[in-house]
Amino acid sequence: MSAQELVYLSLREAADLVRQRQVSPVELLDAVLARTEALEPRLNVYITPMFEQARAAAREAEREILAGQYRGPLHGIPIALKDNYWTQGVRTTAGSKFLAEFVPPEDGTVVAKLRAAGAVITGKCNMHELAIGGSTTNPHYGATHNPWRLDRIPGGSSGGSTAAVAAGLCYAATGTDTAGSIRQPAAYCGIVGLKGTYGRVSIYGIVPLSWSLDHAGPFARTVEDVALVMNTIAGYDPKDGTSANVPVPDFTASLNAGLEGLRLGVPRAYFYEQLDPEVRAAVEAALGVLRDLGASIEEVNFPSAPQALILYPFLSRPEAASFQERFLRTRPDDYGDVRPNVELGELVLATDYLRAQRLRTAMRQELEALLTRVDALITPTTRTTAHPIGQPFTQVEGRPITLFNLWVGLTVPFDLTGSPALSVPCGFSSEGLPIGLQIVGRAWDEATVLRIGAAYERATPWHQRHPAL
Amino acid sequence: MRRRSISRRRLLAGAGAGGAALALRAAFGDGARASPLVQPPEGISPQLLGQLAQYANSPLPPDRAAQLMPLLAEPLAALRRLRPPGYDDLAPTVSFRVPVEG
Repeated sequence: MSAQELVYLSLREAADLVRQRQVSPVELLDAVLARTEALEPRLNVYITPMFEQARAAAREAEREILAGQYRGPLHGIPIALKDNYWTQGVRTTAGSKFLAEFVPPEDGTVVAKLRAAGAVITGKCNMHELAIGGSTTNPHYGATHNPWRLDRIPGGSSGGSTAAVAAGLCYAATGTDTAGSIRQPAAYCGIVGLKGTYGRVSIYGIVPLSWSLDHAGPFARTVEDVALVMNTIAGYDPKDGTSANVPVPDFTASLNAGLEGLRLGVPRAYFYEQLDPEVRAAVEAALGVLRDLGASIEEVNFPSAPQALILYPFLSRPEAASFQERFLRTRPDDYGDVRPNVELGELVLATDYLRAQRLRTAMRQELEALLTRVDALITPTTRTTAHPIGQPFTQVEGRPITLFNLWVGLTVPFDLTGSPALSVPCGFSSEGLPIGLQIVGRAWDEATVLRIGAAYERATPWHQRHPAL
Repeated sequence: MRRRSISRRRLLAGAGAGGAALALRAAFGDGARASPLVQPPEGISPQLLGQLAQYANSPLPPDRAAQLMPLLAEPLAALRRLRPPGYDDLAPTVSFRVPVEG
């Protein structure tokens, strides 16, 4: 097996080889680290590599597996972390200057679960400053480059994680999603990203952006692989006040169930407006594939969805300003370009914050009613493909667009509703840039979302393409 | 350097008659439904933002209030215009859970 083949195994394939002792965790890690060494100068994926710790963890995993102590599918698998996940003894910057020297006293819950499953942590990935943005053009740690075209952003805020997975520098990674920061960079980098239901994955030990909106979740190159990571990281956490004590299914259980009998809703208004024509064509083709696989496609309406663009700033900014109060008071000049967001958060009246939270309830109720008529919604993940670094598109289909709408206009409604949402690759533009398909389900029904994504993935070749680096 | 503070009374007085109108309309209930209960914040000015920043004890340099104003005023007007049917019955979405163990 060539080094290229080894690094682009799916997590499941790598795990099977490790379990069968045909490949050792040390071999897997050596392959991805050799590739990282070659590509990191061009990609800038990591803020803090953890290669020495990873080598020690891989040797330990190898020893355990040879001793018959196999822990499961993540055992010995190289996995990268977004740099807002607390790692005991390893700095966690959240892409900020404020936390440049912050060394957490313990692992966050997701990290602890990954380590307990035997995962080999490769390092802490670059991200948009404090997760407030969608480009990962970080003023303190540099821009991460999209592996598909180095002049493009990888998306964000979890852009280092998605670039690492797409480039074959790890088999999975973690991200966080407050307005779309898992699904948007997954779409821009041509990989799979899942945001579970709000409360499904603990956010204890993750540097917060906005407590009532923050979600944690996995990236990988296949739907099955994100399901495997979810099996490890999901679940009730008493340390996390937002964590829900609900049963956790085996997220891989229904991946092969097919689409017969499923009703998929297509909300044309808003979600299919102001799209890059190539994105529109790819998503329309994807709807055809889903129909051919046996799903019924129904046009539906989610009228309050556009309100997410209005509500989000009045929710996230005050929450961010509250957490970052000390930063703003003591070191305001250490902000990059996200400072105005935090300053504005201090000027929002509590009544306006609560007005937004009440209107958010109306959005949730409306979507809940809609999802009694269909099993899931299908939309594009983003309006366009990744834009050039430092040059965001200001128009789409000849009409002006705000940066926020460009980056996360189609994903943010489902952060407000807390819905499970998946992005899977659904094509490429004429420039060779990936396009993502968003699948949104009922609360706590990640299984159906993954089932739809897996069926689509089996029927299409997009996940088999890799960037020519 | 200590910043000059502003009293809550003065801040609210600076908000003009809108607050009083809100209280009256709220007291008289649905009779006001035909028109927005809350007026768009047309009176927002850099000076008002500066005062609000003082009230919040926020370290906002005076020149930044003018830069931030357009980022706040229009979205705030849009937010306050939203009033779907049943709004009065809506509770806020909050991240709050009483632990089983009390």
